[in-house]
Amino acid sequence: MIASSDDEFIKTVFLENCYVFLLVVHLLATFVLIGSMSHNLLGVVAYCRGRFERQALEKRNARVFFGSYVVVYVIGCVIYPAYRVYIRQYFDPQLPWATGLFEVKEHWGALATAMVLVYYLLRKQFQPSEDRSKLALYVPLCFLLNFIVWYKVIVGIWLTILKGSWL
Amino acid sequence: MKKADLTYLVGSVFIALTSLFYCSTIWFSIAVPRYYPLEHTWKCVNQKGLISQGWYGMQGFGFLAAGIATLLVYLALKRFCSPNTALTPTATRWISVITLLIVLPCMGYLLCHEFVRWNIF
Repeated sequence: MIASSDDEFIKTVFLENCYVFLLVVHLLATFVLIGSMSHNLLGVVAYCRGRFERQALEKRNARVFFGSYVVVYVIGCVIYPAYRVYIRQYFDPQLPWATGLFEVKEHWGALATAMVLVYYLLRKQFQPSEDRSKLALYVPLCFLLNFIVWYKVIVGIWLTILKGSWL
Repeated sequence: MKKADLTYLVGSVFIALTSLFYCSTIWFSIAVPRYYPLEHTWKCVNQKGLISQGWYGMQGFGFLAAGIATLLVYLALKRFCSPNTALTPTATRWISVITLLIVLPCMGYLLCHEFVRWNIF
């Protein structure tokens, strides 16, 4: 809560009372995300080597990857106002490089949202063993999404270590 | 056009256009709606001295504009391509290359934009 200049009323931020709880759920969903995404990457690397025995498993990982990304993304969106008011107020003047890393994380996350949606829909529509030409987009998207999500995870954890809460 | 080919082509268009429209909010200083967390309001102007968040508006603009443009591409493909039309492997590869040639520079631009803005380099 922030007191206004004349202390007439207290300003509250959307979901600020649930911030820590939601941050923990955000983190737990991220574990599922990086687990499914990394396993999905292993399946995609196998495709690059011409091995298609584990298509069903790779498809299931892609589905979990999509679902967990949506959960992480939605929670990230709803806790962002409290982060902006309480955490970034600390980072902006004292550790501006941290805000720079965070802003890149958010921009790339927005682009990754479109990529994840297309990645999931594409995987639903094709069988890698039967239509290998589609791997021309599917494989680079998988690598790119892994790169973006790992960047987001590392930066997110780093910033949380620097200042995870205002309580 | 086959469903998988349609998804491939339309999906590539959506990814590329989302990247371009998202970056265009910075390139052309487009006034997207900003959320003011302490006032609990949305405004299209960036009021100095007040905490505001433009990221939601940037995303909304990117997804909405790209979504509309992609829908037009989808309708055009449905209208002008026969159900038996299939993407050739060469076309499939080129669509991927073009998509990545749009997305990767956009990502690089966003990185440079923020790193310069926050004096990281």
